[in-house]
Amino acid sequence: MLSLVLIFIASLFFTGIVIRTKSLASGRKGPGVMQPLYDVVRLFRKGSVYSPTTTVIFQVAPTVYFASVVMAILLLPMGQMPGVLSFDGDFIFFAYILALGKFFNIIAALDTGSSFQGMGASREALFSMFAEPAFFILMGSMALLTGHTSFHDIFAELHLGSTINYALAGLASFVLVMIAMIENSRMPIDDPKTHLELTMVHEVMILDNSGFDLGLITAAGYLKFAMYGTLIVNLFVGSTDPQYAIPLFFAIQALMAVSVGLIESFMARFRMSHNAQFIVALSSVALLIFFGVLLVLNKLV
Amino acid sequence: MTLITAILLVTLLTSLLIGRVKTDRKMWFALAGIGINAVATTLPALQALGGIPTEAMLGGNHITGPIPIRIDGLSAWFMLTIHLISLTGVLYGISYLKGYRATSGKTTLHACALVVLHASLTLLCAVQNSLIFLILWEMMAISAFILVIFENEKMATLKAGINYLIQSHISIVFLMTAFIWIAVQTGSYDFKAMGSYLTDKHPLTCYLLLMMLLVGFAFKAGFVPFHTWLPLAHPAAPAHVSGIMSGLIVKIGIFGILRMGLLLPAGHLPVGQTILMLSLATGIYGILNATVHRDYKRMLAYCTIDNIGIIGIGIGIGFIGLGIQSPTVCYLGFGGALLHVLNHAIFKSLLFMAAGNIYQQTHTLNMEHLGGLFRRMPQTGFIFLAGALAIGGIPPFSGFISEFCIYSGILEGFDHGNIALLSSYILAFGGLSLIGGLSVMTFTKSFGIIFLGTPRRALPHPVEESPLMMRVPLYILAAAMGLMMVFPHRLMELTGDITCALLPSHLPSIDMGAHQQTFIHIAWASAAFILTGIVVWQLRRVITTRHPSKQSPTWGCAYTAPTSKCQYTGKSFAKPLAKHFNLILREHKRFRPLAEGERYPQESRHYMSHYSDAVQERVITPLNKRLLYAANYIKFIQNGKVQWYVLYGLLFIVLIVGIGWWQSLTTLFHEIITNHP
Repeated sequence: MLSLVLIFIASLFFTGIVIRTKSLASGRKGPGVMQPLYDVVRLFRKGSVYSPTTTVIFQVAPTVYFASVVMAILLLPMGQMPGVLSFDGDFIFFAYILALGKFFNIIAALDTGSSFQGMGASREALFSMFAEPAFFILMGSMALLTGHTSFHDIFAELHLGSTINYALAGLASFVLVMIAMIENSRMPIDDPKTHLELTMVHEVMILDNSGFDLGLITAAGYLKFAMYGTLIVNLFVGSTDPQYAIPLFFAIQALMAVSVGLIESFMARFRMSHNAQFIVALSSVALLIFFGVLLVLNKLV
Repeated sequence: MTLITAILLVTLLTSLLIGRVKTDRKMWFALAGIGINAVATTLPALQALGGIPTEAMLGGNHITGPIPIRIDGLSAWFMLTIHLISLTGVLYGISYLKGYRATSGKTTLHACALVVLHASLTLLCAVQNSLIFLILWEMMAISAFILVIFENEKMATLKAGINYLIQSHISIVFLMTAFIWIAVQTGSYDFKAMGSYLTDKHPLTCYLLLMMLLVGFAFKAGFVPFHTWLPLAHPAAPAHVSGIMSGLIVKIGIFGILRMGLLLPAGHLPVGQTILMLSLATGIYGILNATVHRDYKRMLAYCTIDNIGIIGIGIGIGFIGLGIQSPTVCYLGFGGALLHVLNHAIFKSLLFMAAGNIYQQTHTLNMEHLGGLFRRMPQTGFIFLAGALAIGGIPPFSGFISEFCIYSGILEGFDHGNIALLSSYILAFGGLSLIGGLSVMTFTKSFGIIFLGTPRRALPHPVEESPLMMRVPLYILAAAMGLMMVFPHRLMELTGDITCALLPSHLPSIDMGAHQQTFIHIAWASAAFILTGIVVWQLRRVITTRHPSKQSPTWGCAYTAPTSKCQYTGKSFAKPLAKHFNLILREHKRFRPLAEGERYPQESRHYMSHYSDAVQERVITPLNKRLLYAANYIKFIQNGKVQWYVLYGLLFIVLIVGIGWWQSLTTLFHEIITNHP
């Protein structure tokens, strides 16, 4: 329950910090940290425009997407406290329920009969498909390391003592940050600020959404960032007491937001055709973690 | 005993009756015949699931030896799946065939073949005599062949059918060799003979024998590279036949692997690893091909190959569990495989029937010609969507449960094993997730292109929702799917019992309580998700009613005259993927390149492209060419003249006499030498 509340609070600031970092890095003052939140509230208050081509799928999709993200968050633990729902193998459910949201987003894009939206949908499907094995290999390695299979047990068991464990946690954070970037369609995979539909990924997929639905999709994006941030937090705070874990939670989330902002400021996005290579490389980093785990467990002989 | 006679009698009687009645009643009679057979075998099957297997010994004759009939949990599981899919399939077929206005003779043959197919499939699960098994196997293959070539006026259908028939027989050759091997060594055709024969043999012998059986069954099950008949036969067959083939005939190969593999007394580990790697390749190869094809029935056929891969991963994990003596891994691996067998049988035949509904309304199998069907046939659309989500293994739909079970099996295996084993686990883990991601891509593409957007082409007649009789079987299957979603732990209990009964007795018994608890949690998590969705939806309804909502054409990025041809196509949706996997996904393009200096083409230009099966193109076809080349040299033997064949017979007798003469001669010499040194 704690994690749910904390993630909701963190998601309020996360994107704001990213945007603020970006504007500071480029020498502008930039909007306030709460601006993304105001944007969503404004969207919630607006009316909607629907294309006559669309069916009920288009209307349901943002709701399913948002609900899938909330459901995924319900599974996440926070330090010693388990998530609202916690069972063996819950990280598999986590990945698959997120896939459900993605599924609906993609078919909603195809529902508009647009010549652009399918393009974004195709790219988003491809990139997240490539990212899937990285997440599974990472979590599989963690399960192997700890001998447990639920988020809570894995993270509670994860004692960072030796150097190699820190190296593994570092690599895992890298993989998780990159998965977060892919799943949220940020740099270097996708540029949310791009102005040409032909080069967009996520933005072109939701081109026809408006009003409340667009607000839901945007809010789900904020939540997703905080969600992946929480996974990273959990890598480090596993056995820390709550009074330290909670400040640490916000510190790490803020650090992640700043680093996302810095990545976006100082990196150009990849060429579309290079994205796949990059994402596959992520799976090999995850395999590196797997071999690291074998090393820790003395099985690498 | 009486049961088998009854089934054979009912099959014979129904076939005779079908020939007598009016054309439009033939399929109803087939349904009745299958229904009687199904009801007759359901009782022993349910008993077997409850833990009381039926065992009987038929007398047989001096060639076959005694014929053991055993209905245990495994048989019962497959039998009940067969009944469900056959009954709904034939029920669907009744109205599907009306669209063809086929002649009386053709319908008779089709209806009889359906009854025979069902009877042979059912008996295959019960009979444990390898000779009778092969005969039933042949009956199944031939009746399925007749079913596939229903539209025999089309050349492509006949070709696909013959391709299937030939590959079926290659499969039989492998099975026959293995069965004869055992029979020669033990003098018995009973399945159990294999176990007793192999108990004190070298592990390599066990491995080789099982591999021979595996290849035979793999042809039927559609493991890569033995899958090439599937993507041809499934689109060629009528919808309900595709459903039955994909749901049942392919599964009987899986049944064979399980039935024979579990008799193996030792050497499970290499078998498990072989099956695991083969299945991983099958799964990824199948789903990659499914993503790019525009023929939606071929897409479903490739998707079947992918699901066979998933089932195979489960079986592989189960065998590894046997090898490392971990009953929990066995239970999760085999249990997941069994669950996925049922799951896939249900949602694949559901999808094939939904595809049949689409085909009968639009008369095209090319999804690029379709679009916007969701408005015209919403019920079929919703059911297709449910099937698509289930097949992608996405919660809260039923496919997730079996995939989750297999994932858990892999995770459970982490506790044991060396680096090689652990690496294969992690490979299977990543591979399974890749398959999941790809199937999301495949089914978003198929559903989106077929059902959403606007119609891409003018169709022969206006599309409307299919008649009620073609929706009822879909609803029955959808309800079955729903039941599986609500009671996953009950199913796990069942498959657990089945698996435990099959495992060797020296393994420690397992506590399945923890895993059942997990499945109850999953059901709750799914319920929580649905609840969250409803809450968000209600919120949305309350808030959006306060604000204006208007209609306006899809935003075309300031282009104001879009046509339906501007829509994104399935081809372009899958193109980025196909480019990355061009080693497997071979694209063939045909177009006239622009001549030098030709800036404005004078004549109209055509562009054609299609994907071919890499295994067929790179392996099977070259191999066939070589074979034909070699066969050319001995073609003279088969010259079609009767007198020559008589001569061959004569030569054969001479040969036999010669061998006998030589043997007696050598014995004579031997005696002379030993007696008179």
